[in-house]
Formats: sequence, structure tokens, C-alpha cells
Amino acid sequence: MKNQLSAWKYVKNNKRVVAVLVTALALSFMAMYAAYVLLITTTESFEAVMLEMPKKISYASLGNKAYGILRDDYETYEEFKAAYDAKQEDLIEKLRAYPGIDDALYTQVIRSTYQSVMGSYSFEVPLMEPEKVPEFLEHIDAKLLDGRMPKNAGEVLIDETIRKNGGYHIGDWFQKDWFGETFRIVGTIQSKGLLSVGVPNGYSNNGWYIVVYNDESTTDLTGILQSMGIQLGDEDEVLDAKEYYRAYRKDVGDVIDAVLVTLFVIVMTFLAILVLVTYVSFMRNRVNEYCLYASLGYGRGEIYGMMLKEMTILFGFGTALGLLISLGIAFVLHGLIIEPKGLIGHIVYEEQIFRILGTYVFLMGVLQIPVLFSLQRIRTIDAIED
Amino acid sequence: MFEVKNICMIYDMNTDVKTYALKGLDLSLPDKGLVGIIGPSGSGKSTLMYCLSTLKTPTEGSIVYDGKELTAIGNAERESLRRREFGFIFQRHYLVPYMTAMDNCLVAAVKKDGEEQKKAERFFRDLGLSEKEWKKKPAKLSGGQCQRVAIARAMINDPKVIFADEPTASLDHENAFNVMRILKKYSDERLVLVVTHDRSILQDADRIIEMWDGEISK
Repeated sequence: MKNQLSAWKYVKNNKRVVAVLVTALALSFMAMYAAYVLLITTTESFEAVMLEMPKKISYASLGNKAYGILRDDYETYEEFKAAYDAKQEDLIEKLRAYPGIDDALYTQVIRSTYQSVMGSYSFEVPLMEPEKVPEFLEHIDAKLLDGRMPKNAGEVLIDETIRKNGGYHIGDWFQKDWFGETFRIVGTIQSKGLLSVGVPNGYSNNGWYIVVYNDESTTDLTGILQSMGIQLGDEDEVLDAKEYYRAYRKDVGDVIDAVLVTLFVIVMTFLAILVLVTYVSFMRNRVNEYCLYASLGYGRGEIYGMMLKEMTILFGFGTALGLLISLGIAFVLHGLIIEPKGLIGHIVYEEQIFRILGTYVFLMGVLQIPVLFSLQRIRTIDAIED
Repeated sequence: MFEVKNICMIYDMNTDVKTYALKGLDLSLPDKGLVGIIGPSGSGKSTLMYCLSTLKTPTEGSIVYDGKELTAIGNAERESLRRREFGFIFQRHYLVPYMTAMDNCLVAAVKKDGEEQKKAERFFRDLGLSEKEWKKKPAKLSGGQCQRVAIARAMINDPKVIFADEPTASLDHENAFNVMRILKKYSDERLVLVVTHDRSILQDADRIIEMWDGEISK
């Protein structure tokens, strides 16, 4: 068998240099992966509310102009209000009759807060009479996990994820606001959009909305309202899939993407500089060795092959160790923060693993520049002796 | 084995004042024997050895080795000759610092099998290196021991020619004569070319070539 230059000998006998490079690669891998896990958990958690919820429920709060009613056209406020209510009732009837919409009702809402790793998001919880709650739960495909259905004023059912997230228990007060302790939790449900539902307490609300029980074909409430002759203006508020998606991109998706890209670039830049400097200095220290190989009759190709194998081993070790640590850290984060806080996240994110692997391959490509440069400088020992 | 005709080695070719390391040198070398090349610093003895061993290419002239014109062959063939047919002992031992003595010897081996390992062990024993020393790295060996490892490395492929450039320069008197004794023994079957400025180590040489100012003076 033909003897070849061994890459293992350097790796085995230069543990300190190898450890520096392998550790740098492993820690950078871990930093990029752990940051991704934490940040993407925020995205995925908010996606459940902001992208899933509007597939089942939309909200509209319309002013009188949307119905074509002007206050000046009526002598008294009562006349104006009666006309407004009639128009609104008419719209609700039309919505109920619209294909793909199960129901629509005009009701109060309170707000539920979902706290993620980065920031929090507040969203609507509809309030309705107890007899309406089963129908609502059926529409959102939710099932009662624990406790009981609300039957008295000021009682709420909250999503299990929201319960974990807020650290609530059945019997706790759900909201503590300016009005004091206002809604009591009587049970938990499980739903895709982290939806909750309650019974009005008669004095506390965060506004009145037309709550539309839509399906995936009727998520464009704005379009539906416009098709019904409603002229939406600045004072009107429609919270449908498009609006939630716009808010999601603006407040969550774009922000997290920007943070991830920035973090990725910073870590990679530092890593690239560190690896480049370390590698160049370690090749400089080995010039005599390369010259010896050339003098003994090894071709440049064989020397380059050894360098490439050494680099592959170093990156292989760094990547394997980094992946192992990263998955360990993700497991710990999942157990300590993500799962107990009711956040939505995973341990394995293949896309990020492949992204980091791709970056490492790119880094290996960049390292070929100093490698090829030093290969060009390899002479035989006579040149050193001269 | 070597037929050298009219070789010149000119440094600073592009300047007005050219420096001649070798000036039209003719030489014939046998297949075996210990040949010493002696001369003061700058006499061209090392340059001659490097030209013969394909590490350098002369500016002019012809070097025929085993019927092959060395000045006309390509890099791959030069590398193959150095790998398979030539052995090198340099002035400084040039051992790889992170490898053991054994690995340093085997790094030059053309083949990789148990035979090469056994051969290296035999060389080490003949050279007076103990088993404990085989596993040591160059930093843990004395200058003489390092040079003996370099000799074993030069002999590992049973080369037809060993080129030794000042092989005893870093050794004490006793080690120097030991090294020369080993090279002399090897020269019974093969050609050993020793470049030195120390005449005393060449007392067993079959032929001594004296060089002066790029020419053979004797």
C-alpha cells in the first residue's frame, strides 16, 4: 500500500491548537443555534396566535361612517343610535348568512397577554353569555382539558398554553387591571390559536367588536365587509388574517429575522477572523515541515491533500461537538424555559443546522485562499538552507 | 550512475554581475561507494549536491542519472526520483516536531505496511536508538539522536543514492564518526554522497572531490 501523508498525526499530536479551533467552531455553532432556538421560539409562539387564530375568528369594530350614517342627519342621539344599531344588526345577519361563516355576534372583549422570550403580544378574548360558549368552543375545535365551563359573570376558560405562560391555575384571577381583580379562571381548554373565552362581568371590557366565526375560506373579513357595501375608514378596525399577518411581519417576523441575520453575521465574522488567523499562523509554523515533504518527493497535490484532510477533520470535530452541545443546550432551554412557559418551540431545527453547516463549508472554502497561498510558497529544503 | 557535463549554476541571472555557484563542472560518479565533496563555504559543494538530487536545476549543462537526463524531466518525475531512489540527510535534521522518531522515519516511506515498520526498527537498533527513544519526539532527543533518526529516514526506502549535506555538523566527534561509520556501511551496496568542510570525517571515503569557487580543484 502506498504511504500517504497522514492528517491524523497533526491532529493527534497538537491537541492545544486543535482544541482551540475545535472549541471555537463548536462554541460558534452553539451560539448560533441557541440564539436561533430562543428567537425562533418567539416567532413560532406568536405564529400560533397571530397566524392560527385568524383562521377561526376575526374581529371588526366599525364606526357610523362605515355604515353610511352621519350624526348630523339625525336630530337626536337616540335616533342616530337606533339607526346605527339597525345597520349593525343587518350587517351581522348578512355575515351569518355568508358562506363559510358559522356565526357572528356583537360582543365585548378582554385582552390576553402571551409573553415570549423576546417581547409579549396582547390579543382579544371574546366575552359571551354562558350558553354561547359551547358553540364557540366547537367552532374553534377546542376541548375542555380541566375545570368546568363558565356559567357565571366574570368567569373565563383559558387556553392551556396561556395558563402555563402566565403561571395561572384554575381559581386564579385572570386579569388584574385598573378595575381590580376582574375575571376568574374556571377551566382550561386546548385550541390551535391559543384562544380563550369568558362571560362578561358587566363592567370590564376592552371594547366591543363584531366577532366573526370564520373558516379558512373566509379569513379576509375586510374584503367581505367591502363586498357588503361597508366603506372602511381610519376610525374602523378590522382584525382579520391579513391584519394579523401584517402585524406579525412588522412586530415579530421582520424583527426576529433581522436580529437572527445580524447575530449570524457577527458570530460568523468573529469566527472567520479567529479561524483565519489561527490557521494562517499554524501554517506558517509548519513551513519547514511542508518543505521537508516536498524535498522527500511528495508532490504539492499530496501536501494539499493532507492540509485539506486536516481541515476536514478539524471542522468535522468542531461541527460534531458543536451540534452535540447545541442540541444539549436546546434540550435544557426547552426543559427550563420553553415548555414550562407554554412557549412553542422544538429541540431540532434542521434548517438552522444546515445553515450553520453550509456556513462552515463556505468558511472552509475561504480558508483555501491562505492554504493555496502557502502551498505556492513551499520550496525544497535547499531554498531554506540557502 | 551520474554523468555530469559542463554544469553551471548562476545566481542573480538578471543582474549585471552574475554569481557563479558552479562553473562548467564535469563529473562522473559510480553506482556505489562513499564519495566526499569537500570545500570551504561558498565553494558550490552543496549546490552541486542539490543539482544532482534534483532539488535544484542547473542553469546550463547536463546531468544524466541512470541514463536519464535530469535537467529535462518534469516535476512529477523529479518527485518520484526523490521519493523512491534518493535519500536525504540535511545539515539540520528537519524532523517534524510533533511526530515521534518512528513516525519521522516512516513519513518518508514509499510503502505503508508492517515491513517498513520492521525495517525502521532494524535501522534504529543498528543506529543505537533504544525502543524508548523511538516513541520520543525530536524535542526530547539529543542532536545526535535526531541525526540518527534522519539517517534512518534517508535509508527507509533503500535508496540508490543517499545525499548527505554536512551530516555531522551538529554532532560531537564521537557521534560524527558513528554517523560516518553507518554511511560507510551503506555505501558498500549503494552510492553515498557526503558534502562537508570537515576532512577528518572523510577518512574512509572511496573518493574525495575538492571544490573551490564553483569548480573541482582536485
